[in-house]
Amino acid sequence: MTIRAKDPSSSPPGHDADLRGRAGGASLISIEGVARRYPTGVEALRGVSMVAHESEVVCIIGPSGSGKSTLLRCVNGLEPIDSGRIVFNGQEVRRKGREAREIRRQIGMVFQSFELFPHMTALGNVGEGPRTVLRMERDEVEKLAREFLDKVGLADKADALPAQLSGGQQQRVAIARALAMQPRAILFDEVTSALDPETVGEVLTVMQQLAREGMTMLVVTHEMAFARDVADWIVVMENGQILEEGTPSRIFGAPRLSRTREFLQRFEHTPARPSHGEDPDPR
Amino acid sequence: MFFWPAFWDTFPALASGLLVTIELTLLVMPCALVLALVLALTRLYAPHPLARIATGWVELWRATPLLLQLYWLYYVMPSEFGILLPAFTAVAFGLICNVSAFLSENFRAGIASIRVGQRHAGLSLGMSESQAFFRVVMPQAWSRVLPETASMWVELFKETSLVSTLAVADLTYRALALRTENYRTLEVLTALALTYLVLAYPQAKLSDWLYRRQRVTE
Repeated sequence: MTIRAKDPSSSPPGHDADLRGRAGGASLISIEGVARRYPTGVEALRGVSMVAHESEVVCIIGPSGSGKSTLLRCVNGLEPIDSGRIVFNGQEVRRKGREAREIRRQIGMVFQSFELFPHMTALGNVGEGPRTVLRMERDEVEKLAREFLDKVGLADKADALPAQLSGGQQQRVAIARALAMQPRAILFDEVTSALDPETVGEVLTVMQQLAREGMTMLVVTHEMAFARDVADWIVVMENGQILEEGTPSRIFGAPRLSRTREFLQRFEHTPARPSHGEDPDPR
Repeated sequence: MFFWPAFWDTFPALASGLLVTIELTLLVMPCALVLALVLALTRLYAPHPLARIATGWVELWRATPLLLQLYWLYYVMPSEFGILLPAFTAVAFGLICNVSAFLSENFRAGIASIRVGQRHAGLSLGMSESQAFFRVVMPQAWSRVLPETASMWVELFKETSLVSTLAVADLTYRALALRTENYRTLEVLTALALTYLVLAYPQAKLSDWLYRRQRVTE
């Protein structure tokens, strides 16, 4: 892994590979030296390398504009990459064609602005993938869609249109929509950033439950408490690069870089006291 | 003095013209819809040179008067290029090009107004580009452009009256011909106006209803 530490006074970012959570499985998503420069000239990603193992929750944190969301969109081939490569389950991720669709079918994605299909009911949204992509029978589709709506606690909203649902409910439907494809991994792109504070919890609860069930999750988030409590591995990004990565207790307890420390200190309600190195709320 | 017999006698004389007007509208609209969709998609998704050509074509038809376009097709094409089209064909062609240019602009804006995240949501489920377009983008764009499309339909129905100047025997042509026979300008033109009104009003109401329904679903 090549990371150019921008802060010369800091020690090189380390790996806590030996401490890595429940990384029993093989690597499912492998990002290798990915760079992306936008047509506008902005370098969104400057050689990012990281790995997500099977059944692992990896949270990517960092200031806005650090390239987190771009990286996520590269993982399922929605965003082109200029160099490097991404391998999912042994297959290189492409942007077009049959292989691209094959991989996207196995990687769910949940968006900041929900992106539910407004012309379909909640049930229709959840069933859309199985119907159009998997070409399942109508009865089967409905059964499956109800099952996943029930899983996110919205069985009673099956016939509601997205516009009739609260933000939190919409986002839970969006999670159900991703789950209905029975993916191997799900990408979460700042999924609580557009929500009213009082509905953030219901979405995080669903995500926490998925994590417990062993879903592989790549989560871009500003919810530091969630990252600290649920993630197996934290990746800190800034300026299109990875600053450092490690277990939550290490990152939040003893960040190696001053830049990480500065970033974490901006979240006042999140206890991040590097000097004491103790997690005040261990779970 | 309003001479009622001349007023009532106008309607039977208009009957065959009405048929031509309806025929023209029913022929032009579907053709224009298809051509407009093709133009809109070309402008949005085709490679650069092709998209530019489509844009140029659309602007040409949007920025010149319809009457001039019809004259050009009917009088200039035969004399300069040796292409002599029957009057009906020439005006139908002109109307199709004109209406599709305006419609395509409407379609293009409608499709472009569906944010890219919707396409991404479709693709991330494993849809192909065309599935994402037809299942996700198109239905939303369609409900946005429908009211405008409907009001353009009403517009077209009335604008077909321009073809009377090229000796196409539509509603207006029949009325003007009758007027030169009986000199009952007031009665004949009033009857003509009433005919357009009775036929266009329900269409206009329908398009109003579409606008209202649109606002509810937004």
